[in-house]
Amino acid sequence: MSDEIHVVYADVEALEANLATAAEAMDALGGRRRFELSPVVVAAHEALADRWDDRRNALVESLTAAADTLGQVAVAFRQVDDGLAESAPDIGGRVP
Amino acid sequence: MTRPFPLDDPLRATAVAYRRAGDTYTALAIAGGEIATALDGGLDADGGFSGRAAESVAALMTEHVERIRDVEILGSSLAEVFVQHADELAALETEVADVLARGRRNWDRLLAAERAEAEAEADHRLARQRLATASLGVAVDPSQAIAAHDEADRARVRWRAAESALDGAEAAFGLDRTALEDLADAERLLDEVTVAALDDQDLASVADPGFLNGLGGLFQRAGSTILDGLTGGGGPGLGLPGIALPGGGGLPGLPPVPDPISDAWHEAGDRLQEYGRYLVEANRRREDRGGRFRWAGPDAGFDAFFEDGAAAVGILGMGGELYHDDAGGYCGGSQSCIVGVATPLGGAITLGHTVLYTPERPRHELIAHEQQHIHQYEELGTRRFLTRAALSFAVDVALGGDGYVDTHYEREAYYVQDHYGDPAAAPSPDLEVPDGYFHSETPDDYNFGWWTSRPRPVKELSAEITEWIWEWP
Repeated sequence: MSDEIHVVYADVEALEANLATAAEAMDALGGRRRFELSPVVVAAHEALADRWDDRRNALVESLTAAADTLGQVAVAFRQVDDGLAESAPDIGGRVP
Repeated sequence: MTRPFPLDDPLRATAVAYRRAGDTYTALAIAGGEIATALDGGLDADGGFSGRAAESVAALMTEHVERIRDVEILGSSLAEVFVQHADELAALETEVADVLARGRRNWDRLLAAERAEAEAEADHRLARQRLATASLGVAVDPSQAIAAHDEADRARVRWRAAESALDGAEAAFGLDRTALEDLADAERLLDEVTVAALDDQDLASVADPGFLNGLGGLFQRAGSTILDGLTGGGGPGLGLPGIALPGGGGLPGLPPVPDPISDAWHEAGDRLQEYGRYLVEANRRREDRGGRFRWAGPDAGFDAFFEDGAAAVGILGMGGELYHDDAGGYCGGSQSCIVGVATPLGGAITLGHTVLYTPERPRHELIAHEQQHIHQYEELGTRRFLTRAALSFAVDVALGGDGYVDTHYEREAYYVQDHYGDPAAAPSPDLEVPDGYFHSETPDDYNFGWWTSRPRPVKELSAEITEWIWEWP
């Protein structure tokens, strides 16, 4: 049933690691190079490189934020799990 | 002291530099693809969640992978732009090398012609001095005076010939200089196309601004789902500690992935290639025909500028295509025929050696008509042709005509057209139009009957006056 809750911490953490790796790899794609092109083409290329760096940085931020958020979610679920386990006797639940 | 060769390579960049830029962006494309593939392959089917949250996580992560895939597409697109530029520039480099080699030969010819002309002038002066001396003693020995006179005449003829050869050498070298200027212009056009392609690169999809907000919204919903499960739908009794989720709202509206290979770029590249083919054809024609006509005279620079400009308008501005005919060989030979271009009367217009045709496949008669105009341009040069055509137009209009069909230059062209196939009426600089011929009397007339409404003597008067204008010294 789609409303069932099932969290596999290892999978969430693997996903977080993949996102972080992708963010680092994208970050490494920065750094512009200069070419001996016609002056007007050099100017247009540098403008494009500026735009590309802006976009790339935004993408890296998105990837990093996604990785961080997944990490926080995993931590939160663990805390919820721990809290539920501690309070299980008080609410008639089963002690793990 | 020998003067140094004055022409240089006019190109501002090299094809190698553009290929290097293309290689860099190919590497970017490959890197983007590898990152996307690695992230894609590392995704679990549900990202560690189940239920609606899992579906949402999977959908969002797929979108994230696609954002990185856009980097791959962007890199490929830029690589194509630079490689295309490199290919076009390599062709221009070949042309420049050819023109410079030819220019060096013509420069040597020019220097030799200058020396020969100076020597011939000195010989002529010497012969005239001898003639003057002999003339003083004519009463003593008339035969010496006659011999000195003959020698002075021959020296003058040799000097004139040397001057003519020098004119020819200067004209040939001037054409090389013009050809290099044309090639510099072609590179400028190429630069403009590449700049437009770079400016058009759409990076919007590389990092969608709504992505992060969408992600936050997703996890808020995922958190709600979890809480609903924990509390039986009763709301956040326990809460989720320590999670600061940015933003809110639904899944981002991700924009469609644009086509990064601009159609405009391809079209502009095709136009540029076509214009490059025109330049090659025009330069070959100038080399072949340069020495034979007034076209190679001191106004050659303007003549070339005029017809190259007309070709640029026809090919780059109006989408015309170069055409080579299968009969007569005028198109691609003495004419650069650009077809599929709108012209004022829907037929053709001759601008130097460039002829803009409206039909995609012009009739042979029409091509022959325009060929006669080519001979007229070559006979007079562009400035004088246009001036006399304008004067003829004014005279014919003043006499009640349309300014066109009965003028001398159009009578010649229509005579060729109306008698196509008759060797005596083939296009020629020496064409003679019989008295009494007018285009309007032929059965193959255009549908402009009002042109013929003037009485015959007035038409003949217009033809006579415009012929007189044409033959003005």
